[in-house]
Amino acid sequence: MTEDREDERIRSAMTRTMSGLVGNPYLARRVVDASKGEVKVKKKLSVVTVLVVTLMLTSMTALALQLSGWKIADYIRNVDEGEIPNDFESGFSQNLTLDVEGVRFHVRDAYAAGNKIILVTEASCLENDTTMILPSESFCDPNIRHASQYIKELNGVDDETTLSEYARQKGLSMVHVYVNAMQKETYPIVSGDDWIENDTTLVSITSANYLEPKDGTVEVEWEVGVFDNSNDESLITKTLVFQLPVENVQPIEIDVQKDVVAGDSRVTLDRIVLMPTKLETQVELFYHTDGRQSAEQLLEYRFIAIDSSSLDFMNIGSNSDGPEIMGEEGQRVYLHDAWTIGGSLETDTLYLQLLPVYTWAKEGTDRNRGLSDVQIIEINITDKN
Amino acid sequence: MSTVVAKGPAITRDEKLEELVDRYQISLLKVCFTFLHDRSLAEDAVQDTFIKAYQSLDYFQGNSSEKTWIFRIAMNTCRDMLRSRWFRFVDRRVDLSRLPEQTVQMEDGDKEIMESVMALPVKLREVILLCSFEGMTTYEAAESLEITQQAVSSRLKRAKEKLRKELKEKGCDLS
Repeated sequence: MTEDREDERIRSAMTRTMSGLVGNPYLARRVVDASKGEVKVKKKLSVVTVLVVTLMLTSMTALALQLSGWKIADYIRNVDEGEIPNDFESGFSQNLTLDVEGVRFHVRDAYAAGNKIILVTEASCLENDTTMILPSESFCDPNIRHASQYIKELNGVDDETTLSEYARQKGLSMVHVYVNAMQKETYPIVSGDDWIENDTTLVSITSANYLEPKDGTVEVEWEVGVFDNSNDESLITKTLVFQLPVENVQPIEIDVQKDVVAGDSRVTLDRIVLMPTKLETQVELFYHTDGRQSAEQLLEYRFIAIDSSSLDFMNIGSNSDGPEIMGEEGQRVYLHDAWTIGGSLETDTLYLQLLPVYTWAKEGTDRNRGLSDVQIIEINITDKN
Repeated sequence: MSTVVAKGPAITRDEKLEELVDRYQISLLKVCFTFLHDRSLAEDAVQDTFIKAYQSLDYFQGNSSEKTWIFRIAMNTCRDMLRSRWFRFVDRRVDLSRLPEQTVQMEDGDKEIMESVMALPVKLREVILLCSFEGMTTYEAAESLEITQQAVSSRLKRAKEKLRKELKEKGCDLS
């Protein structure tokens, strides 16, 4: 009875809280059109999808063997859509290893620049090569996930084969592991991706933002763990703290002072700060508006980088929590946002569009506005102070 | 035009889709929002769910119920979105102010319960959504999540314990 009462309490609380959510009356029509290819459905291409596509394409060439042992640069070039210099080297040379419950974790590559760290960890079994190492079951349920999503250089297995079926066919057992890396004592804002090499080695790439380097180094907390198969919530972990040199990045500060309109609010983009690393360009934006109400409305908007020729988003990514109010002076309210553009910024001009988050996340850029619209801001980087 | 054999007269695929959308759109939207913490992504997830359902209508054998089938597609769609690069650019804080204004009066503790559910680990959130919110049996939830009934029960127990503990710290309870 208590359980029923609790369920009812949860149900009614959630129902009331989400009572404002309404359906789309045209959804059925839209689904039919999308299925017939009559409307373009924006596909948010997942990293995993890109990885699979990349691998499928590449496996048809003689380059397949070169895809083993991916480091950061290989990942960025092949999956993260970023263009980085051919001579990029992370410079990482430490030998870092942790053994947990029969699984050996090894840092294959690591790189820190500006305020971000990227770390590649590989995990494989210590004693045998018949165990497939998988990411946490929350993200990789082997009964649902397809082998082709995770395993590199997979030949002769159809796309519908699940990891469980694949493991059974190959006589492999399965273990789920956990990998994370962040700066010690900072809020962990981490994203990542995983793949499997040679059936049994898991490779996990994690990145964390908002480092605060001291004396040119950052203290990284590398945490790894193994889930206990008999109890899916039980995780045995070990942590290693190590110092990683941070590549110094010279920030480029640009005074912008351009006005745009977002809904009923007039916004002034005061300045942007660019942190161009070899892998990406970190962008910070500082802007203001008048009135608290305006500022709160602006939390629903973001300045987005636009490719001026295609009018599409540039290769953007972020672990940021989105825009935030930084402070007030009388009526004036100051806001801040941050994100990254994949690859180095090679153009002299950065085009931005201020768009409601819900609109761009669903519809993409606003092509009807055109580049001449006031909501496109042109910033000439060479005009810096 | 192909037809779908259902109980009663055969209907076209498009009619069947309309029926599914009418029946499940709002429920799926709420479940996906709680899962993804973002209204726009939730709308995308619902649309993707119906596209996948529409494309596989002919293969739906009726071995599971229609509801568990459509929720299984939705759960997998949400899980996929959690992994995507795009997801990194979305604000993932538990922030209920981003929901549209409620059309019914909220009661004391509603906000805290919703926030606590949204903050649960993914595995625990899934079972609360399906069992407590959607009213599925452990058997139905197990089918939707493609896990055992035992796993559903065990996760549900842990989820409730966690919710009770967190709500107690916020000065609320589930009763």
